[in-house]
Amino acid sequence: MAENVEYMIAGYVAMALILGGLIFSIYWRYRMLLRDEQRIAQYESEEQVLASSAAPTAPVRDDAPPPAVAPDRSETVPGR
Amino acid sequence: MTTYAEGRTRLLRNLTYAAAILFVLALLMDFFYVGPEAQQGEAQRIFYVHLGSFLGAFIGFTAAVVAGIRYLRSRDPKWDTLGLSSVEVGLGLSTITIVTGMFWAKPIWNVYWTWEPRLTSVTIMWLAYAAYMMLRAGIEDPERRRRFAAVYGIVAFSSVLFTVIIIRVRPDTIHPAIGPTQASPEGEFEITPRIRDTLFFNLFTFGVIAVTLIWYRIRLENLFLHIERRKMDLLSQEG
Amino acid sequence: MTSTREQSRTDIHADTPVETQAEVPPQVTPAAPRVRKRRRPVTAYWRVVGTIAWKDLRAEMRSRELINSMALFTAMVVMVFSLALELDAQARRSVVTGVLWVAIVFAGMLGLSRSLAAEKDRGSLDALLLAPIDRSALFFGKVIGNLLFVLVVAAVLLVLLTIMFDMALMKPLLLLVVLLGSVGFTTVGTLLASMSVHARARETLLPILLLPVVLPLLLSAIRASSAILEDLPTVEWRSNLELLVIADVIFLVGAYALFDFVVEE
Repeated sequence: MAENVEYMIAGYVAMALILGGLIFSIYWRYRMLLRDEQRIAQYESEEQVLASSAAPTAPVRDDAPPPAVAPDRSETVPGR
Repeated sequence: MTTYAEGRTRLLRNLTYAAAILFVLALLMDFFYVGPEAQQGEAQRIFYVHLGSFLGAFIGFTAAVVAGIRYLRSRDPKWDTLGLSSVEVGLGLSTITIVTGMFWAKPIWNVYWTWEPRLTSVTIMWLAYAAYMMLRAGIEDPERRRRFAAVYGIVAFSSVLFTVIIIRVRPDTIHPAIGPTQASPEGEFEITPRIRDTLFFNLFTFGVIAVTLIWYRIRLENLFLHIERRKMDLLSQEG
Repeated sequence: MTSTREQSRTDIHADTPVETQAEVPPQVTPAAPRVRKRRRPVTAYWRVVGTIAWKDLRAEMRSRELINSMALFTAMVVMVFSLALELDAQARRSVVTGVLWVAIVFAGMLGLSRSLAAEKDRGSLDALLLAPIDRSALFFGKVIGNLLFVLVVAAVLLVLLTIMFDMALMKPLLLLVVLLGSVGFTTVGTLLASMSVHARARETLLPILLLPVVLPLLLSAIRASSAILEDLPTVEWRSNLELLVIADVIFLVGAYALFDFVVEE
């Protein structure tokens, strides 16, 4: 009988490494995607906050102070 | 009551446990149930994972053909996902076949590699599916990529058939085979009942492993596509 | 573009039997009266095939860019091999079929990617697809056109190798093997080249896609050619020749079935 245990071990180690690599690559990409998804969810919620705050407050907050006061007065003054 | 998705997830989890247990059992059988073979000694034990992984790869590549045909018929992207996933898993498993074969060949044939019909054809097969991945990477339009990948997945299967068939017809191969051949290969051995049991158990195990891996790869691809879609939505909202 | 118009005209042959029955006579298109007379659809089909192959040939005869570069390329492949392998008479004998097939395949790939790329860049492929012709006729037309180029290259090579390697290559059986190998090669090659022209790196993608698929065919072709060249008995090359025929049939049927899906837009 031939003495060749070392090749048998090498073969099984190689098999384990490749199989492990395949599994790990799938796992790792999945994890990276989950991380991506979290980031996207964060963006989406920020976007929503922006969008919801943008509709009612943005015109007021940005250019409201000067004109909002001015027309207010101009309207209220004649009315008075 | 569980939803459909939950049911699938539980099924996949059970399949994963089954694959892991089968894998451990198969390894135990490889090392302890069968004794070393009379002429080839310990190195013969490689044969079980060698053949097992080839069966796994074969399942993957066959699934890719089925997926390709189904995609071309229905144009449902899910078949393309199956095709990509099974080719990728098949590529990984056929790499195992090639590498384990090299470690078996060194003590038995005295070389890691020889340009022998079976080795040549399995290399061609590997290259064909590597080309499949290149093709996917090279085409930008998603619809066209899916269509071309389906076509090439079918065409590349000719190399798998070539690998499976060539050993039966080429008289000059030195690669051992199960079943009748025209050649009298080097490194053949007698199949005892225990060797046969172990072989079939390994084939079954690698079949289960291949299916499980393909399933996980499909989930990965689905998540990827889902995230891509959300990214696109986000960008179009901003734009 | 003139050729496109011709094809659409020729193709109406195929549809006329149906159309003339279905349509009301006063609404016939101007082109229709000319093609009114009935023809067998089979002939019409092969006329389209012929027209497309002829179009390629005529364009090539006008420009001669492809055939010149392919011929020069093959000459250089022969040169490189003779220099790199430092061939003596004995060595030449053993590698000549390898040189022959490598040169055919590489020159053939050059021709394939040029022919399909030119078709795409000029937009004539889209025009052909718009014409109401059978897609498979388009495919076989392209295959025949490309096959003729490959055969011209093979002929050049055979002459070149006969002279430069001092060997009698002009054997009928060898010519048959060359023909069979070239048919299989151009069939798959045309199918895959029409995919690779859409890719980003199309010049490099074609060999990557094509070689693994045709390598089995190539191996049998090389083995058969070698055995025939050395006047070995029939048993030595017969199985390889059979393999070549089987591969040709599989490739022709498979490519015929799949080409529709490649070109549809």
